[in-house]
Amino acid sequence: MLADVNAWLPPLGDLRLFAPELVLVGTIAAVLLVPLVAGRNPLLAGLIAMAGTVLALVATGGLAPRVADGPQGAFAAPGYAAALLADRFSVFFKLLLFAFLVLVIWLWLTGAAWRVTRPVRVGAIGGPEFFVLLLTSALGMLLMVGSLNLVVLLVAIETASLPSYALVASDRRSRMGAEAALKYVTFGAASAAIMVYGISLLFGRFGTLDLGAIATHLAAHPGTADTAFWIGLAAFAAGVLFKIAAVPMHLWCPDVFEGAPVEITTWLSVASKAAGLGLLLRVVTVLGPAPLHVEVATPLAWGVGVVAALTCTVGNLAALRQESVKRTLAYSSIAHAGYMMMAAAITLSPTAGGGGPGFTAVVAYLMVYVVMNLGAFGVTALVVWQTGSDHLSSFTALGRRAPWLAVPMAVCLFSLVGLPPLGGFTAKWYLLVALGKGAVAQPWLWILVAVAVINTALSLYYYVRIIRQMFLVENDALPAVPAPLGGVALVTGCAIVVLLLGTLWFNPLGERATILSERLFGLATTAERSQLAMVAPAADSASRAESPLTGAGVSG
Amino acid sequence: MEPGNLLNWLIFLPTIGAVLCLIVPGARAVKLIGVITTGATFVLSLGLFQHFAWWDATRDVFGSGYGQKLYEVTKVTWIQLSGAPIEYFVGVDGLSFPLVILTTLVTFLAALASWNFEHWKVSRGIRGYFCLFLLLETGMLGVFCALDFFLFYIFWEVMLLPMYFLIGVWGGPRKEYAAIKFFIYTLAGSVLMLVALLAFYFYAPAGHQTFDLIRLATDPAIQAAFGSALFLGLKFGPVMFVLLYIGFAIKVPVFPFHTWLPDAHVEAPTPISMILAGILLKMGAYGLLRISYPILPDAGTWAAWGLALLGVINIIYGALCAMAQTDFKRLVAYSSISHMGYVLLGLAIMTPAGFQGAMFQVIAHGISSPMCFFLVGVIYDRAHHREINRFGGLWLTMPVYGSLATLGFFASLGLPGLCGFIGEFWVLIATFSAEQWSWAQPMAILAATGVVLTAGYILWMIQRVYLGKAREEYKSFPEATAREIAVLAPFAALAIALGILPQQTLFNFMNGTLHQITNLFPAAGTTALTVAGALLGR
Repeated sequence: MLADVNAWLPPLGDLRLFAPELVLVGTIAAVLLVPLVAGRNPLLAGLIAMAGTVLALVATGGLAPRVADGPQGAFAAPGYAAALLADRFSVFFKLLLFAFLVLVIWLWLTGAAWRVTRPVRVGAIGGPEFFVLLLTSALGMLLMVGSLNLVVLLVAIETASLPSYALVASDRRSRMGAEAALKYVTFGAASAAIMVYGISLLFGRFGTLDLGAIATHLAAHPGTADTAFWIGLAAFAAGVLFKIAAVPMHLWCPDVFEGAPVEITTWLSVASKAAGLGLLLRVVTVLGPAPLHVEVATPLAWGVGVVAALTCTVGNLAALRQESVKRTLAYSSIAHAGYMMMAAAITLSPTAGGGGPGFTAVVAYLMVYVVMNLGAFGVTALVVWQTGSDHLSSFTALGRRAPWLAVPMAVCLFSLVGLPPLGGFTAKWYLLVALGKGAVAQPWLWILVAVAVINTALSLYYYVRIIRQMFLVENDALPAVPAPLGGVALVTGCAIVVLLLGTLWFNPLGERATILSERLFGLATTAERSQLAMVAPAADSASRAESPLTGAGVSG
Repeated sequence: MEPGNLLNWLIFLPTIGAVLCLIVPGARAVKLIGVITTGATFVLSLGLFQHFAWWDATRDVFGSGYGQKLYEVTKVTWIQLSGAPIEYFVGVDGLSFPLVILTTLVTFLAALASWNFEHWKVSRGIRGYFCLFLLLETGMLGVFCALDFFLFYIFWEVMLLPMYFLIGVWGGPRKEYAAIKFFIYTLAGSVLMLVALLAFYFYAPAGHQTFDLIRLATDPAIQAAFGSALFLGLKFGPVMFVLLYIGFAIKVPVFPFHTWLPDAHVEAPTPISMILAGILLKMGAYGLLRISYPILPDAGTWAAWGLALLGVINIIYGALCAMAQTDFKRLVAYSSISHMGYVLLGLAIMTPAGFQGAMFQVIAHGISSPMCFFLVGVIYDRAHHREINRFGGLWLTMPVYGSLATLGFFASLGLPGLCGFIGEFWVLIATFSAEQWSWAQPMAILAATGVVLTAGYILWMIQRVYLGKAREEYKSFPEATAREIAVLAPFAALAIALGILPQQTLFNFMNGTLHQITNLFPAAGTTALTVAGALLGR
């Protein structure tokens, strides 16, 4: 069997489906190799990374129509399920991650250019290795949302995590960064170990590493969802929850977010969670179809719901007393991951209309979350660069000292609370509607609605604390806070988009998310999955290699 | 339904003004924009009188049933959900009409009261102040005009942010505490409303799902579904009623959710106190009348006893607290709590007379309390303190102001011939004669003691502040300026007009709609009200 795999090479057509990843790998190589010729230049490295990411973004955009007709498996050795998947689901997450990566690099470039002309207050991070690590972690996250193979997922999670550990400590002079990295590594290693254990249990129980095949097996043999399955699944979930920073695997998050350079905190706060959520959604979708309702999907929905409620509540409660803005935002990101996980609980709720609304909610929420979180962290970065600290007191009287930072910050923070007419409310609204829809059949989801709205009220306090510091506390002695134009443009842009998402784009966002999620869903029902697993033999792959990749040949 | 654009102009004219405030040059221009915008909004709102011309016998002002006659309606789809769309749906009927006029008037006068902005303790950021002030007006008018529950919720929340900053930035010494307390209380209440909002939508039978407040109340299929549904094992109606009630009770505020109010009032600058007391508190009562009672009448009956009791507690507890205050503004704040108790009591008995009394009290208090807060503000501008015991003999030094002050406080006290009397009296009579409730008469008697307490603390305060020998330190106080009199005079005139001609100035504008709401109740308009109803009814 092993020999078969060795002899097998992926057909060229499959490779073209993964152009974005390949572009990214090429960029990583370029960032590493160019310094050999041009010398060590952080700015150059940043520009190459930026160019590569934009190219990858374009490639993903070009890929989108090709996967329009349904799921496409790829890298399927004869007799095996596809190791990697290219479908609308992964394309959506790839677009999101690349777009976000572009903005994070933009933030970094702004900061780097700013530091050149200023007395350095915070250790400059940079150099080619920084971008190699950043792009590699992005690569891992892309793979996380594009597979159902447990080992591929493990590799993807590790590819995303290992560079992140180093990124957190990329400011070598920062003791806090080093400490944060150590904590991150320890937690990451432990959760990876648990995850591998879970995978081994699942493999031992079902004899396959493919989650789709496991679902097919469960559906075909009622009663096989036994203790070994649940322990294996729970242990596997530990790794996923670690990436999302969900309770109880969230403890690394505040320390790491506080210790890491702001750019990295920004990156992790969105990308790591988005990828983890993508993975979670894929897993629950695969395990959710009709024959599995009672035995698998319902307990799983409860499990996800409980974890979501806990994550959200713990995140908000812990944030109440933080003095560091980065730490506050770290806890806030835990809470928001909790809100989004609630939607994952409906996704598999058996009679909730096929999971569509849950996906819509997550897709809409992620799109809004990316913008408002980037805005909040962007302002934090700009303030930290100038004042050297992210303590609440650095934000004192920012309304007077730097209105162009304070107003976008306030908009983004109120949006994070979820107040209308801002994007955060739009996101929360679609989430609550989805929960309400699910609750028609499953009244217990109303508990999640209650948890969500009570948490909204709870969260107000710590967000407003920052706003209070910016606008209500006066201190005439403090000087103005200058900020680079590129950074101001970034955060102002975020604030405007947040405002638009809450008003004029309220409906368009929902429509867009619904369209996306309708096509996302239905991608991995058991029937289709098993088809993929069976129909991927070499003959078909060969014909696909010649065909112009419309995708029709694959899904049929 | 009669379509029209007037409400859209009313709601968004202040928003336009708010944007202008940010771009015009110079502090004076900003102030002018603020006053002109609120003034124009007020004048525009007077245009609504054409629809409510009860003196024209040929007109059928209120139509045949609840929601049948709505004026200046705009109804367009805003957000498409899989069931019914969320609509931008605004309109006025006899319930919201007086409140819209009250809002535009009080906001205009509050803008005039803000004219001396430069002399405030915190006098920077005038652009921000007027910008937020005008945004607040958009939110308030939106709440009173919205007939789609979702839209109502949006406007309800839109008010929060400006209010937070208006108290927090331009307030007194403990402004930050007061502002965050106000914010958290109100948000906590409104998120519970959000649960009810969703539940109303999803518990309606398929094909009937809607956020339309009129349809929720009048569609028999929805009403039947709400009547029989269970929410997490509990009866749907009472659970929703409680969720909504908490949201509205915080705004009213009803004991024990009232503690944010004295803090917010005391720390807020005078014009903001005027708006808080004159308009924001009314939204709780309006919400109960617009949402809770029409949509959940059974639950209203279920809750009647408790609500009436809370109303009585509010009346007596508020009055006792007011009596104990030495801070002038705090006293007025607690008197607001006491007065709003009558509103709750009147609503709780669910009879036409009760609703009429409650609504009258809402408007009467909307006139007298901003006046009282402004009266306090006038003194505070001169003395820079609010200690009741340190004042004395102000009537002698400022005769015009003293006379207006006495009038204002007497209106608040409920002196016959002034507006406060009609509201309180109507509520008490309605409660006493509500024969379907065995507890109504004892409650009415208890509540009536509140009248005595009110007279007590107000007369005592007048004695300490305005009467007695003129004190040396206050001898130099200038008489009320023309601007101050211009703010006080409309309130004074209205207080007298409503007190003498309650029927013509207010009841006739709203009774029709209030009757329609009580007609939605299962056993509508029983005995008690036939008397009062016949007396008043159109």
